[in-house]
Amino acid sequence: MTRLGEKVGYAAMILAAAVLIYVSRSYALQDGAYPHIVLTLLAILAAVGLYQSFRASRQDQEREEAATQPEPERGAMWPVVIYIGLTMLFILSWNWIGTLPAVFIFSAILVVLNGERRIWMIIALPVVLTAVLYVVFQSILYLPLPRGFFLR
Amino acid sequence: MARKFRTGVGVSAALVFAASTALMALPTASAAVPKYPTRPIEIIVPYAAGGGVDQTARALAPILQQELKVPVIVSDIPGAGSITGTSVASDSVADGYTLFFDSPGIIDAPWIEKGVPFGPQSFKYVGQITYIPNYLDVPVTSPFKTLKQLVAYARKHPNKLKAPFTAGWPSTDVMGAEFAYDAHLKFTTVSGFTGGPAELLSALAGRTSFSYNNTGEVLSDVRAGKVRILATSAPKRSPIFPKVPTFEQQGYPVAVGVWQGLAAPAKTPQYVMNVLDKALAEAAKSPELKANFAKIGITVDYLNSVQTTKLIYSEYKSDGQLFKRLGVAK
Amino acid sequence: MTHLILQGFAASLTPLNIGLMALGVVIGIVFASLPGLTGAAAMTMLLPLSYGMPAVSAVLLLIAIWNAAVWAGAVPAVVMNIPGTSAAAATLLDGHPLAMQGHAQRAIRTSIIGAFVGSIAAAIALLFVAPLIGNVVIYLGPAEIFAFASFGLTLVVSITRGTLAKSIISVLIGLFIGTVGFAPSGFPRFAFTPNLLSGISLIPALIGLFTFPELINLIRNRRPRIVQVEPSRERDLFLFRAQDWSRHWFNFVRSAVIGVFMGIHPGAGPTISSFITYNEARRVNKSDPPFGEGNIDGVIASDTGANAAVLSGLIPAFTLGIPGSVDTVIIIAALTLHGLQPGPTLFMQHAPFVYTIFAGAFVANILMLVIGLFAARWTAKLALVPTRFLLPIVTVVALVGAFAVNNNWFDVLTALLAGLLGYGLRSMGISTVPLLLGLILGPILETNLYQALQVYGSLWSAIFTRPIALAFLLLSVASLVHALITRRHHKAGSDVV
Repeated sequence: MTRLGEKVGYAAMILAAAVLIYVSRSYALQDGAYPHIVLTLLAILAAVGLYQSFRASRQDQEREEAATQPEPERGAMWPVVIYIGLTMLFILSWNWIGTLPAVFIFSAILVVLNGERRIWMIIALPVVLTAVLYVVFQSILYLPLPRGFFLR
Repeated sequence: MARKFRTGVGVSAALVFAASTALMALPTASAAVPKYPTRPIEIIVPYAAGGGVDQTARALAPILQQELKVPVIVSDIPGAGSITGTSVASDSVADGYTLFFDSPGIIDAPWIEKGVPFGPQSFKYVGQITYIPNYLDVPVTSPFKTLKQLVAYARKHPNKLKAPFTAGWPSTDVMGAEFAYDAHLKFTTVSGFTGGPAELLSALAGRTSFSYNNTGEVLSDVRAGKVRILATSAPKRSPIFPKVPTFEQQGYPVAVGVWQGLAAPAKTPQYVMNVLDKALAEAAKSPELKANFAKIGITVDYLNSVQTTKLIYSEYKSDGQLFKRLGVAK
Repeated sequence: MTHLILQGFAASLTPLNIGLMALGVVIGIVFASLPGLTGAAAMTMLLPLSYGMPAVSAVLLLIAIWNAAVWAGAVPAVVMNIPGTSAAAATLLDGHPLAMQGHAQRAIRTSIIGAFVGSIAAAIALLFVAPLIGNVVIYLGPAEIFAFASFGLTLVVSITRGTLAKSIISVLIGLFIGTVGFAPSGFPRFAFTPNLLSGISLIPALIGLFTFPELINLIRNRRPRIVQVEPSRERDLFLFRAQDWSRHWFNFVRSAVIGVFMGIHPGAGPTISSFITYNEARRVNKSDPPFGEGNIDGVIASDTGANAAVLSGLIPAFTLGIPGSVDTVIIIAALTLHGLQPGPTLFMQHAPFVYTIFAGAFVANILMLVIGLFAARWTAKLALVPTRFLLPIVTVVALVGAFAVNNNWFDVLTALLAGLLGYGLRSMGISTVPLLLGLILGPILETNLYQALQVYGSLWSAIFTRPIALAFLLLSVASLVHALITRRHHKAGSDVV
């Protein structure tokens, strides 16, 4: 199935626009008119996009060469999912273990996952990164980075 | 709660000052009263760096530092008017190491906005340190020489004069609304301003009829002879503009100014409050503070903990009535 | 006047001031080159430290950071396709394709020279016409600003590639995100949590929108580093030869003049300026390669235009006390912290101070050129950093930087969600550059339209009593029509920035 992501994207836009118009239906004219116009236009254009996407994928199927069309060389999706998941965990963990420890752990994991095997590199990059952030934010600028529950 | 983390200046920053604080931590005080303070204190300002409240806090911090003998650090948590920073402060650990710099934002937001997790009861008040009056002003080219003339004209021509409005109810605009109500006047509201300077610019260009500003915003233009102040919301005439009468002197009980002071989360223990009360009272007497404040165009107007608490609760009530009358209360 | 200017130069050229300005330039470059950190963040953080300095030195330090940061945002834009500041979003349109062809160093050098020319134009405007212009700015009201913003918005359609419908979808999403928070009337819209009351923070959104899609692409395509091509071995001498100047000088001048004009206008600023100058250059330029595929004139125009609008923003700030951006708010704060009130009396009572700052702007610009040219050689090499190191560093710095903007964890979440949105849009072939412009211009557009209606009573009287506003609105219509016609003629490729 080609163009699935595109169709899901357009459908999501239409849905989001509908939901947002619904939740804001009680807004006064002066506050509601402008966002409603924007959202309506967005929904219309997304609907057009969705229609074109269906038509295009039918054409793709009709055309023989559609199968052999040079799809851009793309890797699997799972490394991306892992990356996004880890990043989500990373920012959530700020409130638990504190930003700087989280930075250390997260960057070490990313270095390893990206294929670095030299042990000194796996340690050196997180150490330097954490140290630089500590010096810049905590020592010089007193920026209160989240400290988590353990380091009150 | 996502923001539980912001609890005092913790171990990391304390390490930096280990040398200085360790010395003081050693001789432990009598068992009854724990020693306070022994490590750096953070004051949360719920506005951006460079704003009026931030400037006051930063002018005060070094003097408090001398009194408390530990580093006093100002950190700005702007966002959502002042709601983000105030929520963080009201939610932080009440051990005296995270304090809050309060201003009228804490009593207005709970009335107007939904989902605000704090109110005046979320804090204990150490005291007020300054009071910044608001002004109603017009360009010198305006036909109105006095507030009386403006009121007379507006009575005769309802909705003819254009009044400015900035979203989020800054205290200047609360003053404007209070005045319009007390004087029974109707103005056409022009909204969408980004603050006092933008309101003043619009008045100078004649797009709006007058402007609501605080001292810093009009000082330069008044001295340059471009702006005339018709009334101030201060309880008494300001030493900076002694010729300007107050609203009260002209028959309208409008007293909406910007008070600023030090507060701590509501559960802060009394022994901590005692130390802070004393430190702020001493700081208020310091000539250095007076000089610091003069530089940024404000005055030292100290009120103690009891007076401040009383003032804040009474203004909380009166602002609530105003917002209900205006139909903007949630 | 001449006396004041000469005195200003003498006063600005002390070792302390020169040292601080050089430091400021370095800080600005470092902060803006790292996606996630911005010049405004550096200025905010350093403001308290400037308390202990003389007023002149403090302000010179801040403007050195500001000006250098607006330029240096172009570095990650060229190298990584991630604009370090919103003004650099126009730079990446041609700068990144150049880097992908192995010409990162040429693009960065061109951008620093453009930024220098633009900044000098702004400094000249400050020195000679500031007090005059200040009085004119008062009369540019909501109708005019609305017209300017509409003009800016129509450019999006003609600048970005991909289909027209997709560009408009992107703009609309940006416009919608811009409506979150207080409406012009003061009513809170779509504020599902109090964190949203003052709207989606621009900088975290910028960080997310551009950083994450780029990083995800690196992972997905298993690219070992950003730029695959080996940089060319020949020494690149572009703009070091007279013949380059004879070809491009007019682009520099035109972009500088437009940029200064946009900068003095409160609310417009470097971002809109860079897009307008970019579009102007694109409109008149017919040379190969086409704009968007690595035409050096695109880099010249956007960077000259952006920096010309930086220091000229000091004119409304100093003469009227009106800040046009976060950065000018901080500079105004630095003035008031030192007991100087911006406004009409600043020029009367503190003329020596004002002219020292204006003269210092020249010095800061020269320092920026020297340090920037030196940095161009090294920063271009960032494109060769292996993905396995780049990925953790950029992710961490971007997210910590998003936190540092407002000390608020919610902004970190905003950055990540904006990143997912950006990735989703890009995989549908929708560019995020129009979204950014919609996000910046949307609130300006709506607020000023709303205000103009209240001030002038109706749309017609607002437009037809204000000739400048009318002219710009007609110009936007013309530019829209022009774009629609030319688009029909050569259908742009479907690849996306």
